Amino acid sequence: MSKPLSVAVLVSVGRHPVSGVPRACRGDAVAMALGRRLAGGDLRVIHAGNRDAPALQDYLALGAGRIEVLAVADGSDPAGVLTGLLKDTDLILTGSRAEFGLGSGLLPYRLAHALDRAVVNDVLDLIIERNEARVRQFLPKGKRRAIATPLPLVAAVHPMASVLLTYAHARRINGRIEGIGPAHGSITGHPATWTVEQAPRRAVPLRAQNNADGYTRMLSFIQSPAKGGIVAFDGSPVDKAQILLSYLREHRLVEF
Amino acid sequence: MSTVQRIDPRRPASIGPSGLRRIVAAKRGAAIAEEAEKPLRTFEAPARWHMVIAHSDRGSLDEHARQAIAAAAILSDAKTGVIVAVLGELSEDLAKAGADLVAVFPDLDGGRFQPDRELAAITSLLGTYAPLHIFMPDTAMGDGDLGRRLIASLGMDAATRVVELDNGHIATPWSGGGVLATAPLPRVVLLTAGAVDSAIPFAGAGKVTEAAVMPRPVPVSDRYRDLGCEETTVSSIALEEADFIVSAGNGVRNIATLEALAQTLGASVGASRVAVDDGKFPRDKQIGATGKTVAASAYIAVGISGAVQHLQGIKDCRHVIALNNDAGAPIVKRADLTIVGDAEDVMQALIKRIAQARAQREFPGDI
Ligand SMILES: Cc1cc2nc3c(=O)[nH]c(=O)nc-3n(C[C@H](O)[C@H](O)[C@H](O)COP(=O)(O)OP(=O)(O)OC[C@H]3O[C@@H](n4cnc5c(N)ncnc54)[C@H](O)[C@@H]3O)c2cc1C
Ligand SMILES: Nc1ncnc2c1ncn2[C@@H]1O[C@H](COP(=O)(O)O)[C@@H](O)[C@H]1O
Repeated sequence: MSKPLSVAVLVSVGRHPVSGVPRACRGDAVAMALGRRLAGGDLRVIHAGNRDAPALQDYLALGAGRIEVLAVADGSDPAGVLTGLLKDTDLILTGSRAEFGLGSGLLPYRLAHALDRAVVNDVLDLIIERNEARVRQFLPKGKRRAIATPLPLVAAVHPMASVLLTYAHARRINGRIEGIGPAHGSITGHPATWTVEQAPRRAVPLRAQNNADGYTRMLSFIQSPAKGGIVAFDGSPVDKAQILLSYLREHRLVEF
Repeated sequence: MSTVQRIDPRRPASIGPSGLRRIVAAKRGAAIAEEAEKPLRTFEAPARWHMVIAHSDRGSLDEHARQAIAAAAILSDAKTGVIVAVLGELSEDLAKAGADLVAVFPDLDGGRFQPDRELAAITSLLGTYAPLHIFMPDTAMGDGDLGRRLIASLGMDAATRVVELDNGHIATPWSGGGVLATAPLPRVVLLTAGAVDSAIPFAGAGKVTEAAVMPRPVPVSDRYRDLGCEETTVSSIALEEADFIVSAGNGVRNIATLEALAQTLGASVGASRVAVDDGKFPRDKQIGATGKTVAASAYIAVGISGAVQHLQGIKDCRHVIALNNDAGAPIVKRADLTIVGDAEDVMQALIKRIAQARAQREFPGDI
């Protein structure tokens, strides 16, 4: 390879799920560890926000070494300002979603679109071979998919990626946090304006208005809708086995 | 003639679940219509559209996708139609779910990673119908991924992980801790499962667009090459993740047969609490309220009566098949197929039948 691979990881401020205390976002820390494995000491660790955020110290302790902080006003869109900074980076790693705020998981996609490059989500592992990334992607039901895609790439790392997170207080003290000038640049498509409610509450599911008369509505509460399950009584065990197999085949639950 | 009002002993009545006769109070004479046809939501021709986009699995849409369709239908007025774009094959009717028009892209199923092609197909469909709002299930894979790609590429206002919505607003979780953040209903809405009740009292027209009017597949070269899925061995995945489970209850005497059956089907093994308490299975195999909650596509309950505590653990399973010698067991109400008979006999027959099917390489089509 002519020029060395440039890798950056984006880290956000996390939040402890129970106490609410700011901390390193776990998913982002996993992405950082994966980046460290790929790029060693050349990994750039970038945060858009406030350089005094205490959570950043956690990333130092987890081995960030040096964190570049892009100053952005609170509430402004980090994707916009990050675009200009990351134009020449071959591989951008992010977490799957932020723990703080909306946590929409949109940032990697918007960044990839603004930089016109590929994006893969739920990345468990990644290797670079001849300017091409080979990605192992998490799928539900215990499946894993292999994907090949050319660099440059944005990879949103799955929190279950197997990396070793080690916390060292010495690194926390020795690490540096550096501010880099106020950024400019933005992506079209402003996010909706959000109002944060004060008190926790349960979400109310959307239900269709039911104009049926009282009797019908009462029925719908006391009768569970007849699920129309088939009951097979007759025949020998062999016939019954055939019924079962036919059912499995009809719903394509088996491939033979 | 007596003035006492007489009650017609043969007036309409229904027999309740506990066997009690209940007299029908309202709508006298109206037959107790079993599964009455749902009325159409609207009779007007759509002037504008709401669009739902979802991947199908094995020819059908799951509950989460149905919730997205229900949301689109509930939030539509009489002049708005609901168009459902299905990625992957579809072999069911979506009218009851609330769809007015269905556009199927059979070769874009979620089994392959081809986001650029999916995006191109959806973008051209958006050009044709220009929907007011787009609703999608915010799944861990597939739809959640495609939805975010769509949001990024269209640059539209959007919200993900939506847990509450109506015509005026949406709400999503904020920073954890149960607090919600609200915003006006954006154009693209990615719905969390459970945000909508999919039971709707009306139906859509359910027309399927003809292939001719479907957007031509634009020749897009995907930047991604799908190199296929790794084979995972059944034993290595957790029960919660398993797609096919054979589960044993108190009615199973021969564990070896059950394990052989699970192996022939490539299924994981689960158990009811009684079977676990008997020491036939380790505790981590227990399914139910005090065990694991599973979400398999196929769940075969062998010799399990179906106590509520057990049913709680299998509420997310798609197809439940019961094997029981008692046709009155509660599991029968939950099961999509019940085989009444001795577990051991049927399991033996099934193992033989599958071995035969595999050996002869029968094609699943010719049953
Ligand atoms: C607080 C609490 C928590 C619980 N949590 C759980 C839980 O997490 N999971 C759980 O499973 N249970 C749980 N239970 C227990 C639950 O209530 C039931 O007792 C249990 O599920 C019954 O298990 P079973 O269906 O295997 O056994 P049984 O109820 O004995 O049913 C056996 C079934 O097998 C059938 N059968 C018998 N012989 C044959 C044969 N030869 N061929 C075919 N069929 C046959 C019978 O007709 C019967 O339907 C809990 C109970 C309590 C009180
Ligand atoms: N302010 C930020 N600075 C740096 N990276 C961020 C920031 N916000 C989000 N990210 C990254 O983007 C990912 C997804 O965030 P989100 O789209 O906000 O859920 C996170 O896991 C982080 O890796």
